[in-house]
Amino acid sequence: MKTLLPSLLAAGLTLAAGATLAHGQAHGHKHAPGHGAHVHGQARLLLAVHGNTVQISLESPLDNLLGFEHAPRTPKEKEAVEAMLARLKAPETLLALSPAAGCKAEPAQVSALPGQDGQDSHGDLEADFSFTCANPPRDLEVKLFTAFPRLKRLDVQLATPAGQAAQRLAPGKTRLSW
Amino acid sequence: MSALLRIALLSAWNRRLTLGLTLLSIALAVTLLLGVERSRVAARTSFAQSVSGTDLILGARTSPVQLLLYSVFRMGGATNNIGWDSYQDVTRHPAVAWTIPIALGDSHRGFPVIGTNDAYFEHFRYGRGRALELAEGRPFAGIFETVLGAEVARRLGYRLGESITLSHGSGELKVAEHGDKPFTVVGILAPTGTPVDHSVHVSLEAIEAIHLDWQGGAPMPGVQIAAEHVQKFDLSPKTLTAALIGLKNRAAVFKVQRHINGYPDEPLLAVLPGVALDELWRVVALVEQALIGISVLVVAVGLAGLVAVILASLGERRRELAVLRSVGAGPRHILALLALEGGAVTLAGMGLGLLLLKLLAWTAGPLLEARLGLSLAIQGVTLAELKLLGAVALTGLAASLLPAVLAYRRALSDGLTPRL
Repeated sequence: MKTLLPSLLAAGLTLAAGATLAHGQAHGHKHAPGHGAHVHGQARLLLAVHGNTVQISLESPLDNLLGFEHAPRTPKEKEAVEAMLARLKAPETLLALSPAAGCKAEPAQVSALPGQDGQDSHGDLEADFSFTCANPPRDLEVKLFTAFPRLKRLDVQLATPAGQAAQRLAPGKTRLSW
Repeated sequence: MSALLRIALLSAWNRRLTLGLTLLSIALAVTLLLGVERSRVAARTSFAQSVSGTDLILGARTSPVQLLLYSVFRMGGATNNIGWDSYQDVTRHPAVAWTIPIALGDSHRGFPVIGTNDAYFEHFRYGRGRALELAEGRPFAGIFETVLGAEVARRLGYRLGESITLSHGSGELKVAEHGDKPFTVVGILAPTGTPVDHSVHVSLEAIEAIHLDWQGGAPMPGVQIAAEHVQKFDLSPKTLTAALIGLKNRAAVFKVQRHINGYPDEPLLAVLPGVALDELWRVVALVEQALIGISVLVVAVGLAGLVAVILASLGERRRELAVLRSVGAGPRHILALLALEGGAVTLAGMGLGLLLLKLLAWTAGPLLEARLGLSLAIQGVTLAELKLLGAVALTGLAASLLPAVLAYRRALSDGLTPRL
């Protein structure tokens, strides 16, 4: 048993490292420092709760939200960008905190739109939402999967009064509680 | 019914050796199953207990899980250190409330040495936000002073005022001793049940001081700087292994993380310890499931053995059952008799298994706690364990119905007219 646990951990690490490496090789493009991996269908949601304030960040490849990542060229693509922005500007429809908490969303901050940062092949979007609530909220219903059907998996990181946690959401599992 | 019970008991006693061995195999299988489940839960809780109140861990860019393992659990090693200047920059971020610097790399008789500062004693939290307490003495103040974790002091029998020397690296190489600069034990921490118990704490300056006359991981030949002269040198640390960070406002945690991960001068990494721990469990879950799967198989083997033994006994009990039938026992009684036997052996096996587990936790528990920091607290049976036990009991009862049904279907005359 003395050697079992560390070797299990080591095995796990190797597995995890292998998976990242394999992905990097398979995708084979460079990431800017400090940015997560760019995998279509997957996105990251960061949620921090302190007292009555909630900060939520969504980091997603644009493909999940638009279906393309280049600067919009056709009127149809321009329309898609507008529609996406309109969605993100109404955070309550995407992220529903417990109604009992009485939360109000502040205007969302959206960064890195397609074509803006000069890269043409892969683009990521970062949206920051913040909510101020009457009572500390206890749960969140994530409606991103219905709003953006190309999104298949959401890796969530939570920092709440109950502690930190990592969770994975999918179209069939959309509720977070703490 | 009580007559039936008596008959069953007497009959079983007649075959006590085979049934006893079957019972033992079921007991061992149950011990294994619950043991695996219990260590799984114990590992999770003890890991989760080890760090509390820390919002971020800062280190060199590596895998988040690895950073967590070496900075908090002293498992594995750092691939890179971080510069003192970068660390200072991070501490100046307006959202940062406190930081605990951590410098690893030396050891004392197999126990890791941690270079840190007063913030460690002030801000470090474990369990549900419990602060460190000194059982004896005081935090280190001078350069050659050290504070021991509870387990270090207990196992090596150290008291306050004792003089100890540190070794370079993990301590396997006897040559790499910092023998010329002994440390005095000035404090001993109260037990925490976390890796802190296994650590030897010194100041960051001390780590610099013992390596003054070293270069490239070995003492420089012909150069020796005596302990009383180290003050003349610049002892401010140049590098760190990691740092624990506490924030003023939790809501800023991802902002600070992004700031650190994008730090332009050095590749730094900040991880949320709770998130990294969950990522670790996600990876380890596969192995855990394999272990649980194997234990379930072992239980199945034990129960199959039980069925085999009862089935085999049907042959030798042909006469016995026939006599019972002839004095008026219906097929239903035979069914009950056999099912009762199988069920009782399963239940007794489970009872014995639980007892064995208690015994194991009681004898091997302290060893595991000392070696791995895993506390297999002698706890009551949890809900998850109850579910496992229930599943074993149900399967055992269902399995023992098989020989019972076979015997039930035998004709009344079977066994009374011996074929010659």
